[in-house]
Amino acid sequence: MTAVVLLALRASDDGQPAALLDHDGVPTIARLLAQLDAQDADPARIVVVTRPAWLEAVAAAVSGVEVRGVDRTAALRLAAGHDPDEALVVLDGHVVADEVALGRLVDVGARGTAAALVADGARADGVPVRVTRGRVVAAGSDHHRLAHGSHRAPGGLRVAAADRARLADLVERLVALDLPQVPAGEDLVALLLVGLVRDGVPVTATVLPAGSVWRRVDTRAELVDAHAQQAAVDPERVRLDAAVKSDDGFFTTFLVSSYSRYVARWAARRGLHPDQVTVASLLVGLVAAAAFALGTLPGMVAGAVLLQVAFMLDCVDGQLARYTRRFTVRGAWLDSVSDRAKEYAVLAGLALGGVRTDGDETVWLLAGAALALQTFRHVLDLGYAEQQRADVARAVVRPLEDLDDVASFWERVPLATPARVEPPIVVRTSTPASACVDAGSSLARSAVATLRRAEDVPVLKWAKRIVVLPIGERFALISLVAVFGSPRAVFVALLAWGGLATAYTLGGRLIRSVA
Amino acid sequence: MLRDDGPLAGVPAAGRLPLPEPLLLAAALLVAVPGAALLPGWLDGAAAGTADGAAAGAAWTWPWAWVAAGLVLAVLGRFGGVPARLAWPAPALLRAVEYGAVLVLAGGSAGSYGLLAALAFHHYDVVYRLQLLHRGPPRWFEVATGGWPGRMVLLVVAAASGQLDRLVAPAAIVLGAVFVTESVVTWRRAA
Repeated sequence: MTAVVLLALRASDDGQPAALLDHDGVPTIARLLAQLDAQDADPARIVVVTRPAWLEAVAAAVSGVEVRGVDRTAALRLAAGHDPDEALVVLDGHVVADEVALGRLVDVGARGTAAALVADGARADGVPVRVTRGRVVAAGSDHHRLAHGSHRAPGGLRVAAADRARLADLVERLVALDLPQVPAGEDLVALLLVGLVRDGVPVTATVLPAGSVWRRVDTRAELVDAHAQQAAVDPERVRLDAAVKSDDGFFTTFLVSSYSRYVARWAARRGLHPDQVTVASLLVGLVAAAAFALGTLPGMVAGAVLLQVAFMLDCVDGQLARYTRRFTVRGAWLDSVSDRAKEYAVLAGLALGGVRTDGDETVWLLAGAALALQTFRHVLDLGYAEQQRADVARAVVRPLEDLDDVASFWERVPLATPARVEPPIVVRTSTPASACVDAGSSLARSAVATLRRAEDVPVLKWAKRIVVLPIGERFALISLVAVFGSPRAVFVALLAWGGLATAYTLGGRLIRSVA
Repeated sequence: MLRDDGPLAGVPAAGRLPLPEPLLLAAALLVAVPGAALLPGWLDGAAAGTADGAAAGAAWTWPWAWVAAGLVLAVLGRFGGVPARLAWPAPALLRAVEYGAVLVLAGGSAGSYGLLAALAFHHYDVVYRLQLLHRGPPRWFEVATGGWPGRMVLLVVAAASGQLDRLVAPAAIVLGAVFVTESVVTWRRAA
């Protein structure tokens, strides 16, 4: 059960409700309601909140849902919804959005509190927010100033049932703050978002798929533009593109995902479940390992090809799950475990093949070392990510009443946009030791800043991703060296490149720890 | 949980020693892996070159002795202080010490690879379990399978008594079966 609150509080440039601006005779808010209906939202659970002066006009434009005309204080309370046992979606009524974007927010399968976000940019609409590790850590509003935002929040919020009580509390605190009125209509969604974030509620950053449309419209010209934008969008294309992860490695992104997404769509049409694809990927991987174990050149070639097929299927299972919005905990575990099983079975197969060709058992030592190195790297990465997540969760949260928000010094995680991190102003007596530390620290900071700026240059960005030898590059390396070299050479290559990657990553992290 | 401390898990220990844990673990790694692999050979060669070769066969020529020394350092590390921002490499270093010790003492056979694979399965499974189910294996299970201290003691004893090469493959099979069974049982119950 999800309740929906639509806010029609914003005035357009002619003083009328922005939500009633119509395109092809249909007001924006009516269109939004129709889309919500298509998303299986229950009309009995939808409330439209508007100004008393507009009550009649809005009630006439929408049908079948409750409309309330109230002042700002009551609007805030209504925005927090009544029934505390259900999830709540709060939307601005003057939003023009396509079904993919709307579906992301209203997603009945999703749990947890989340804010719909778009990437910061010229066309971006909404208050600035800062996202770290998938979580909204800071937000602005009409009254709260935010420096260094990474995304924008264009008026969509979902509050989990578990967080409803806290929402009700912070609404009372917002009312008590008695913030100044905003003539054109306040962004209440942003205010609620700031409240949630400042209260320490974990708010997931639901970044809307690139290419989808979500804009709040308060002039007729913008409305026409937004609809033109929407008409140009192919929702099928957007959904397919959104199914592909954006932070994959170079090999995966360019040489696999470019076509694996179509395999994913084919699998969706055949009604296949992601877990079935995962198991298929594992089986093909095991056959590849068996082929490698033969030790002959045809065996190596067959193994190399099968390994690539297995990897492609492995990309497909994730893309299929995202495309059909079917995520299960068991599926995620199966995916990860089968990845590891494939990789380590293939290494064993290669070692067996190596022993078969030249009878030298020491190749097992190299295989074991490759396994150990890869596990070491994984556990290192996971430990680091855990600490970063804990840092974000533990961060000192500014109180709601504080209207300013500057990038605080504890935020050592990289921001999406390169930002100058301002160190705290500390008065210290300077000793030679501390001067060395300071010098090293500022050197580290400029190194970090340079590394971050490298993200903007495509060649450097992809080079960084290739150096760390992610799974796509590893499997490609195994396939190539198995065919053109030998099993022993495969292990040496994995150890050499893996060693380099470890040094690179560790170096970067150490620098960042002292920056 | 991520550390797989086994019997040491419940012991309140951090900060008893003035040395930082990451440092002790790094030292343990260096002693147990490259140390055990390289130093016996060097020292043996050096001893043979000098006196009458009577020094050959002494404790420092046994790789397992170096691994044992590394193990002691790693256990001490458990009692060392942990500077907050440098706690994240500890589980990885513990994996490196354990896997490295297996490679140095038993490496070069399918059995040792199998042992590493069994251990890796368990360690990965624990990580994914923590991320997805937010809980790890039961404490009694961690103690029963030894944790890194327990398993490494067994490893050193087996190497010292010369039985390691025979025991590696059976150990891999048994441990692998135990870990996989526990994992499947947990996931069946959770799903």
